[in-house]
Amino acid sequence: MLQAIRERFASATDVKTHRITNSRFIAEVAFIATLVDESKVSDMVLVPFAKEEVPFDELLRRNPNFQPLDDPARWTDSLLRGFVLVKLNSAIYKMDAARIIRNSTPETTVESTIEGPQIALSEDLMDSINMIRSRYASPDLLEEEFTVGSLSKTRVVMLYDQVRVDPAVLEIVRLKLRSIQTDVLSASGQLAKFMNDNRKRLFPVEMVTERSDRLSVGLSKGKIIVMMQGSMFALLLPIVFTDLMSATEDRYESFWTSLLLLSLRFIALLMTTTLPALYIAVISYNPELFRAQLAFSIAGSRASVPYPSFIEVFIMLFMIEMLVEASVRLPKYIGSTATTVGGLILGQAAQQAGLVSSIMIIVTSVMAISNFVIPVYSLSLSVRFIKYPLIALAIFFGLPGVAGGVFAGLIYLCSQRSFGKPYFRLRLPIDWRHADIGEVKAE
Amino acid sequence: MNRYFYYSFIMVAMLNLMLYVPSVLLEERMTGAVSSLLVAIGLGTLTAYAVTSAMARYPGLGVPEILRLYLPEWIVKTLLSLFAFVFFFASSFALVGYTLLLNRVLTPDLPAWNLLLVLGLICIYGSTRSSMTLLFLMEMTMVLTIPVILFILFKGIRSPDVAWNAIYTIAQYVTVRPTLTSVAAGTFIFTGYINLAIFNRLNPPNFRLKGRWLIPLLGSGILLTTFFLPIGYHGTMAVDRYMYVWTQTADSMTMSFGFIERVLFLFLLVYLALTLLYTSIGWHQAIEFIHSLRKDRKFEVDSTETPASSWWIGSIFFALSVASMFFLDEKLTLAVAEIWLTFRMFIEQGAAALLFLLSFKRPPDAAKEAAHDSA
Repeated sequence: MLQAIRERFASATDVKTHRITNSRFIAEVAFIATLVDESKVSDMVLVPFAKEEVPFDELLRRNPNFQPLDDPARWTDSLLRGFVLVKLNSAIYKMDAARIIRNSTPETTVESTIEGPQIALSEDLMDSINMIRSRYASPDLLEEEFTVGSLSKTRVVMLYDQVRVDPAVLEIVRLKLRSIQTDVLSASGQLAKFMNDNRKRLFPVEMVTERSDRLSVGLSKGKIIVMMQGSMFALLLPIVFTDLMSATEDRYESFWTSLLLLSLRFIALLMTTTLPALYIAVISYNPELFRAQLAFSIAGSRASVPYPSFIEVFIMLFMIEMLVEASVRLPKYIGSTATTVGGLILGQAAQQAGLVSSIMIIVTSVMAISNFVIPVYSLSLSVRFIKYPLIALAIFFGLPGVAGGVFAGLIYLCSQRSFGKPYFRLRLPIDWRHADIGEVKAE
Repeated sequence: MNRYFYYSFIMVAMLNLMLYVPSVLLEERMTGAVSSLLVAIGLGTLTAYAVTSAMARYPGLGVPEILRLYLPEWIVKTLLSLFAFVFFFASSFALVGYTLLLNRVLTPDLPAWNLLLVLGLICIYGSTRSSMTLLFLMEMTMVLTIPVILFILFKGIRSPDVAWNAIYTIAQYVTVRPTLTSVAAGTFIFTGYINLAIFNRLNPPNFRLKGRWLIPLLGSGILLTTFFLPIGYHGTMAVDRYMYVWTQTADSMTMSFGFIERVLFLFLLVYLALTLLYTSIGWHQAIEFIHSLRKDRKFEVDSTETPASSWWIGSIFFALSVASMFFLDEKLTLAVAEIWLTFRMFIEQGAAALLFLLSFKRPPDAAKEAAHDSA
């Protein structure tokens, strides 16, 4: 065995291969020193072998940490995953001794809540599964493992409640996970992208989340969790659009509070997508839309602006998008400086210089703030994008263009399916005596 | 599912405010329109009941499949082409009519074909989606628009500007004999059921349509409002001087505290959504009828991929609509509308009677098998 492994890892210096002896046995041990926890190796293999308190062949057979590994083709794989291989009397065993470097105290940073659980998933798969299992103590929770990436060989785990899951969805997800072809898989978002039929999809059809409470509630609703080694974000699927608009806290607060917050978010969604487009359409085509006083005050604030409304909108949007992008990417210390400088320019200066109207500044900031109200980051990115087509429609067709564009967006949303399930649909209490529409498909 | 049927019913009924139904009715307001309304309510309800009970016997099957169970192939092909034409014409006519209206009222500085271009492209996109998608779309659009429409109607009825005397005066012409065109225009309110022709394919086997008493209730409510409210606003004589009488009626209402003062804008945007929805659904059904001309074609209610032929047929519909724009103006449209409304009524009543009679025949074994297969 050692010979074969040395040939396979010819130039790797961190592959340790030992031949050890005690009074009864000669054993061969192989592992990659940089991947394993060496204290584990010595505790589990080297010390018991040397002490001989129990015959070592019996120890290998009885201790559940050691699993027989017969197929020589899987030696390299196992070594690369941090297993120790032990050969004794021509039988080969493997033992998991992987040492994984991860973020030590995972706290929710992306989807923070005020009173909900503060702990996020870990970058180590085992810790994450532990968190989910401890929140969902049901024997029906099943786990299936896949390996994705021809080079990275990332472990991907699918979790579901076998009683509540929809078998059709399960089958689709399995098929997708098996058919992924890539060299290196490095993040959950990438995994989500690979699992989509349509790479050019505009809205996320799966939720990328770090919250274990969201995941355990999802499990109870028959959803599937896909997690990968090395990322603290899990995928939850299939979802509907309203899932992306709900924060976990909605379930913890009283009904009316949640209702208020939820409607607030939907209004924000509508505003952030349509406000710039409506501004152009109203200013350039239909100023008579507003009542006379308001129309006058808008026209008055635009008096010093020397170009058409859409250039004004482009200037402001360009600036605000740069500001948002800069404050996300910059290190924290410089980030605050950037926002201060940007805020100064966007606030008073641009308007006093006569570059944009003061109404436009309000429109831009309302748009930006509304965008931050959307609780799921991937959705808020998509929403940032869709205002641009609407602006184009507003430039060329005015109000009917904007309304038509919103309608086209509605068609697009309705035509989406999340792993075979309807994505954008009103959910009303289901009457169990009747089947749903289209549930019976003609052959 | 019950609610989808009523969405489609309300959609068609509401849309008539904007189409030519009020113009046709108001023109004959002293020569038989009032009594025609009553006849239309009776006739429309009757047809709606007949069609819904006929279609309920074939859950999971659309009209093409039902016809194929009983009739020889050449009759089926003729009927299907006729239906496809009817659906295409009705929805394209609504689209072109609304584009003309919108162009006249909201964006007079844009050329009309420019507007039709963008609206038509959206309709192509909508009509090529799957039937399931269109039902979801219908639900979403109706849920978003019905509150606004109710608000407009409420505002209209409660307004102090309504001259109820004028309405009473016209109502007294109820003794005049009904006329064909008015009855035809009136029954158009009730034609929401025709969307079952294709969408019946999505109904599950244990589907029962409940609450059919809503049909006469909603239908007559909307029909009477369509006819009488403009009279209340504009008076008995002035009411037929308007080209788009309901647009002017909406423009007569004001929201004195809203930052949008004129109700007209709400009305136009809501009807834009309704027209796009109606045209998408109409074209979609026309496309499905054309598809099912081929006997061996299996329909799919929730396909993820759009067949290329759908795109082609949709584009042809669009091209025809754009072409019609070049020689249609408001006067011609109104003349066509009158003929069209009558023609449509005969086809619809005929189809309804045919379906009703067919549903009484014992289904041949093939029908049972087909129903069983789809179950």
